[in-house]
Amino acid sequence: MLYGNGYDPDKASENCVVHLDTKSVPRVLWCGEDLKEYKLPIGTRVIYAKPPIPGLLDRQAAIRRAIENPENMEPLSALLRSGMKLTIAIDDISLPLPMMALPDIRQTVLEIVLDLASSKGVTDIHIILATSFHRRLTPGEMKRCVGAKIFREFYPVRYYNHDGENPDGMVDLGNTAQGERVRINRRAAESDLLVYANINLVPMDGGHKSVGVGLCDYPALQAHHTPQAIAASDSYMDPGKSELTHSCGRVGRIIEKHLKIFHIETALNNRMFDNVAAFLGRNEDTYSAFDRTKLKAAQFALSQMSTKMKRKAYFSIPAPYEMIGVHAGETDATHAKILQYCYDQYCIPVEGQSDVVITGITFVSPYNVNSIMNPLLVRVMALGYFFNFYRNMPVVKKNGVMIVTHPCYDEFDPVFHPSYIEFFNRILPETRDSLVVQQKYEESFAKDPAYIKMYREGNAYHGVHPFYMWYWAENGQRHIGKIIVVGADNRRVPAMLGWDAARNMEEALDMAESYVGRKPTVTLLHFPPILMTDVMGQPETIQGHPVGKEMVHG
Amino acid sequence: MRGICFLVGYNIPLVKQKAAFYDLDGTLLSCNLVTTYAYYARNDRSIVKSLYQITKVALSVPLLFGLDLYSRTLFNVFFFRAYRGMHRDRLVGLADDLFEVTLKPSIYPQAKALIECTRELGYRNVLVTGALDFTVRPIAIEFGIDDVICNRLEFKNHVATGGVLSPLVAEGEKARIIRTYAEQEYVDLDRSCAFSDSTSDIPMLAVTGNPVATNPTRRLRRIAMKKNWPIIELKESKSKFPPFLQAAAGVGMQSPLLR
Repeated sequence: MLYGNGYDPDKASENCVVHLDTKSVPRVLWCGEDLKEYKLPIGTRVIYAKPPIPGLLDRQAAIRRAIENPENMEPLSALLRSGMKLTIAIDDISLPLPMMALPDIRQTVLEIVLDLASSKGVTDIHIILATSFHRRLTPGEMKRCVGAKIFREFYPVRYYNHDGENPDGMVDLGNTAQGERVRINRRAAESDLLVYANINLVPMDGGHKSVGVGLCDYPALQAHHTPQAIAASDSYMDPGKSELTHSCGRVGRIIEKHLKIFHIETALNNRMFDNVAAFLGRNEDTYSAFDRTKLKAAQFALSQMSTKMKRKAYFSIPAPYEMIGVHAGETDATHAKILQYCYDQYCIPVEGQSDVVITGITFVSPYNVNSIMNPLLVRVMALGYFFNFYRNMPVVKKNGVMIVTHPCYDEFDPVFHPSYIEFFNRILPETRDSLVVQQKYEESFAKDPAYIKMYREGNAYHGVHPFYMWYWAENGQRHIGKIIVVGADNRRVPAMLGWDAARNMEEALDMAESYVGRKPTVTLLHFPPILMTDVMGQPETIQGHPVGKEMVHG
Repeated sequence: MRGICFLVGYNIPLVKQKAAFYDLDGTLLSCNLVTTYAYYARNDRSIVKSLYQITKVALSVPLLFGLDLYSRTLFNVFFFRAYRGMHRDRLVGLADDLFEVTLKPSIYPQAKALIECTRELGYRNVLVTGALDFTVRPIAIEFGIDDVICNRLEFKNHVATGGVLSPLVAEGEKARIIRTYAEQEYVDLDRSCAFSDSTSDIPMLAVTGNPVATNPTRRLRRIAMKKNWPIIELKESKSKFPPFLQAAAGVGMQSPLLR
C-alpha cells in the first residue's frame, strides 16, 4: 500500500537495519525514566523503527467515509433508528502510549457517531470504556478520552467504566465448541446495536478481542488469559499464529450470533516523539550536533530530577500520533484491513536470528499509565511485548539471551496495583512457574473480596491481573535461556524475577558470552517507537542449557 | 432556524423582518481571540512548539495591544498569522473542547437571557464576529443563533496558511456585511438592533436603528452617552435591558426574562 507523500512501507524499512562498526558511537537506550548510552560490540545488528507513515489529512472525513462505506455491513446510518438502544464501547487509556495529543481519536470517532445517532433520533445511548479487568479510569482520564463536551453530556450515568464484577451487569451467551465461556456486559448484550470504536496500536489489539475481552468477566477470561494460550502463540502480535486471537475469534463469533456489532477500527502511525525529540528513534551515527546537544541537555535535566518528577513530566507530554487508517463494519473484515496498516508501519525484514537480543525498557507500559512501572510490568514488557514483536520467528535464537536496561526498582502503586504487591512478595519467593501459579493461586486472587472491592470502587487493577501479566510473558519465558538486566538499582528484584543483574553492558555481554559459549551475535531492538521484525531464515537453538529453567525455578 | 417569513407578490407589501446583530468577544463572553489561540497553542502536538507559540504570543502582547488600538482589521490580519501551520483537523477537533473548557465559562451571566429576549421578540439573532468559524460553531449552537457571520482561515492541503479569507469581518466591514445581509434576507435595519462592546464596532452599531453599547469600553461608553445609545452590562446579573426591548415585550410578548 502506498501512503501520503509517496511513503512506501518496503522502501521505508531500507535504513532500519544497521550494523555497528569501529566508527559507531554508543547507542541511546531507555533505562526506565532515563536515557543511557551504551557502547555495543562491533557487528551488533541494530533495528530501528520505520519513519512514521504520514497521517491522514482529514481524519473526520476519513471516519465518516469509513462508517458510510463499511466492510460487509450496511452503513452505520442505516443501522440507526429512533427508539433503539445503542451502546458505544471504546478502548481505555492502556493505548496509545504515551497518551496522544488532543483531540483523542476516540473523541473524534464518538463525535461523529453521536452526531449521526442524534440526527437519526437515537436517544438511548450509553458509552462504555471497555476496561475488562484493567483499572477504572479516573474522571479526568475519562474526560481526556472523549472530550469535555461528551463527558459533560454522558458522564457518569451514560458514560462509565465496564464492571466485570457487577453481579447484575453480565450476561452469559453460552460456550464455544471448545468450552470457552462467552460472557459480556449486559448493557452491551441487550442493545440493538453495539458500536466498538477501537485504536489498533499493535496487531494484538482489535478484532474480536475488543468486545470479547474488553467487556467480559473472569469466567470468560479464563478461556484465553492462560499460560497455555500464550505459550501456544507464536507470536501474539501475529494473529494468524496466536492462540489468544483464535480463542477470541471463537468467542467473538458466538457474541455476533446474539448481538449486532459495528466495529470502527483505527490505526495510528508510530509518531511517538515530536520533531524536537524525534532523534531518539534514529540511528545515533546520524545525530547532528544539535541532536547531541539536545541529548546531553535531556540527560542533564533528568539527572537533576527525582523519579517521581520524571514520571510526572513524561505522563504530561502527549505523543503526536496521527491516524493513518480507519475502516468500519463487520469485525473480521475490518480488522484484516487495519492489521495491514500496523504491519506496514512496524514490520522490518531481517535476516536470521541472533544469540543475544538487547532492548531498553521505558517508563511506560499499557498497564501503568500515570503510574509506576513495577517489576512485573518490566517483565511483561521484556518477555511479553518486546519479545512478541515478531512474525515468523523470534529475533533471538531459542535458549538465547535477552539483555534489558531498567532500574528494576522495587516500587508498586498501592492504588492501581494492590494485588501486584502481594503477587510479587508472596508468590514469587515460592515459585515462578506459571502453571503452579495458575493452579495454586489464581482463583484465590480473582475472588478475593478486598481486591474486587478495590477494582469496582477504586481505581485498582483486578486482583487477578498480575497473573495475566505473568502469563503474558510465558512464550518469552519458554524461549529465552537467560535474561540479564543492566542498570538495576537493587539485586532483589532481578533475583525475584529469576534474572541476572550486570553492573554495566560490558559485564552483561561477558555473561552472555559465557552462557552462549562463544562470541555471540547481538541484535539491538531500538524501542521506542514500536517496531516488529519479520525474521527470515531457519530457527536456531543454542545448545547446552535447559531452556528457561533458571528463570522458572531459580 | 430561520425567523419570521415575509410575503412577496403583486400588490402585497413586503414585510421585512428585524434582526439582532451581536458581536461576540467582550460582548457575550469575556474571552477574546488571544485566549482562543492560547488554547490551541497549549494543546499543540509538540510540547516544544506549544511553548514556542505561547511565548511568541505572550511577547507580542504589547504589539497586539497597540495594533488593536490602531486598527482591529490590522490586528486580525496580524494575529491570524499565528495559526500558520496548524492542521484543520486539530482546529476543528479541539473546537468543542475549547468551548467547554474556555469559552463556555466565560459567557456573561446575562448573555443568554438577552439572546432569548431578542428571539422572543421576533428578532433574528445574528452573530457578527471577527472570531473564526470553527470556534464560533459551538457558541452559536449554545445560544441558538440563527445566522453567523465570521472570519475563516485560509487552508492549503488542510494546513492553515496564516491568511484569512475575504471579507475580513472587522470594523467598517462588519457594517457593510450587515447591509448586504439585510438586503439579501429582507431585514429592516431601522427596526433591528446591534450589540457590541468596542469602538471598533461603532459602524456596526450605527447601521441599525437600535444600537446598544454592551459592556462598553470607556471610549464606547462616552460615545454611547453622547449619542444617547442605551448601555447594558451583561457582566452583572441584574442589568436592565434597553427600553426598546422592554417596550416591545410589553405589547403582548411578555418575556419572563425581562425585568
